Amino acid sequence: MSMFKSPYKSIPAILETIIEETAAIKTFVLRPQEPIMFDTGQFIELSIPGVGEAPFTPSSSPLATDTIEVTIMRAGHLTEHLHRLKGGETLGIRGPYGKGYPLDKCPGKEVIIVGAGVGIAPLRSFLLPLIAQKDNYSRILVCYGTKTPADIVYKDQFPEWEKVPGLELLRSVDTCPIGAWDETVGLVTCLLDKVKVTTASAIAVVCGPPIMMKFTVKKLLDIGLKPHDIYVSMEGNMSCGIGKCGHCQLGPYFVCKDGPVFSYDKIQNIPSPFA
Amino acid sequence: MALYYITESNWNSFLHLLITKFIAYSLENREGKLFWTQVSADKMPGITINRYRALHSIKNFFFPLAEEVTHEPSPKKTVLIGVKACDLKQLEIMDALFSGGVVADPYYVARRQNTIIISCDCDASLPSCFCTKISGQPYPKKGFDINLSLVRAGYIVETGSSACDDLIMSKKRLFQVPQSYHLAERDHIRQKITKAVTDNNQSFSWNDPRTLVQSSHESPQWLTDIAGTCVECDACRFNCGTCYCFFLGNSENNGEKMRTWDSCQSTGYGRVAGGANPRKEKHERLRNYYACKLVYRPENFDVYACSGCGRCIEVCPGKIDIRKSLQKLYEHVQKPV
Repeated sequence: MSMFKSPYKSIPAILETIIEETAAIKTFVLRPQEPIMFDTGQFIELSIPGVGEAPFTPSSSPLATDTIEVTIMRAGHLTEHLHRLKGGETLGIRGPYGKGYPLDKCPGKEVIIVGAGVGIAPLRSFLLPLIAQKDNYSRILVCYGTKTPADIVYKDQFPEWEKVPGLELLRSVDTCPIGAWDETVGLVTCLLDKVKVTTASAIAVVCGPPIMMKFTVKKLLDIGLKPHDIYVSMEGNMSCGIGKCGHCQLGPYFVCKDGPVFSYDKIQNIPSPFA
Repeated sequence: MALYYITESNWNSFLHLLITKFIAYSLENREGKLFWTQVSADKMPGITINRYRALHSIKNFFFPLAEEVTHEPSPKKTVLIGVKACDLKQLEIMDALFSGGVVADPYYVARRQNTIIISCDCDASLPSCFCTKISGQPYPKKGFDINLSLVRAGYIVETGSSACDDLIMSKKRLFQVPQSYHLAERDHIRQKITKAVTDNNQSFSWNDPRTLVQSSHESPQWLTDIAGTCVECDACRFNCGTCYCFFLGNSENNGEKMRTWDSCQSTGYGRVAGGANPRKEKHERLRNYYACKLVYRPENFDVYACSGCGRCIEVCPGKIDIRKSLQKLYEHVQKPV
């Protein structure tokens, strides 16, 4: 029996559970045939046999590897099919790929997490190991923005996180009916006006739609963070996952192997990186 | 590595030996176009090793148009005869991309490791040839197992790998020590063809395409002058010897995959779920392709992903000529404000 293993070949993964997060977002709990060890922020390629394959960053903690969770918005061909699944199906999974979040740079730092919409999914995978060792960090601040209160992902988990001593949670919504929301109304960047950051020891991790990342980075730079202390998720159309097929090229980078998480100094000279 | 002289008849004997050991491809001249063709002991007289580059790039032999990429590769021992300097330069990019990186591509690597490359100096050129404009020359300097230079009644043979040193040592009686007049003849022919290519491109005054493309990102000419006649047929990309992009398709069977060549000039190439597209307009895609070849890959691999073979020029129905495109950008930069 040959030991050959193609880098393009998936392993089977059983879809165990589907959690409805919002009208358009579901979390899929997968049990791969063999555990997948990943760093938070790395991504996997998930496929439905005969339908297609697409990249997703796990939203579960890298400390748990028997099952892997991905939180997925219905937005395209494969995700439409994923959202129609009932559970119990066998999917394909390969990876992990790329460079993830700078967990090893965080000890002793003020860690600022800024997320918007379904962008909170990979950030949860980063937040969970932080919470597991929260005394290692001088601060953990989560700023999360969505369009409306109904669009909040992990609604059932925020109450749990609120109980974690020292974990600061700030949320905003772009719009909502009067009286329906007692937290901040406004874009997620305005949450950063509410806090005082010790910029010299801060590290920021940002994930959301490109336009949100563009303005969040601008805000963080205005506050005084250095470009190399700001990390952004530059997920593109990653396909092969190993820097060959070309689809995710961003300037001189292949996002799948050089990212998907980049410190801002690496991409600031690329024309319109958040186009 | 070593230099020899071999007479034409001795070379043919050596070639026969190779053909019995390998699947051999060489070039057939049909009305001036050189086509890759499989050669056998009874189909040898018609091949043209010298002249200029083939119609199609040699990437086809290592990275075919479509292939299954989940099974174990099963490469066949192959020899390519008549590869040109521009083809070899293109292989540098393909090697860096497919054999290097975080994980090597096992399909490319298997074919590459099982293929012997016999290259040959150019002694003629095509109107689209411009290797001399892009830090190349019309004769190979590296990357071959054996290089041939056609001289009077035979070839100068230069070996480039120990595998071929062994092969030659096994038939040592066929090879002679080259005389100084053989080498002088080779140098003379090389100078002559280099001059011919240089002269053919005299009207192009740009000389640093990397800096030129980098500094021209905001130039209005991408839209107005360069991409205007592009019909988005992808012919330039599929004929480029350094284009490695592929579409990875899922097969019906769980986990099995096919790949086929893809082109960065397609609208949907970079598009993500939800519809966001980093390069919506065709001039943005064309600009990115020039930057890929002349800025980004040189940044990654220290070599241009363009060797001046001119295939993209030859096949373009919109008559887009990369040399002229660069000239337009250059003149725009040079223009006094």
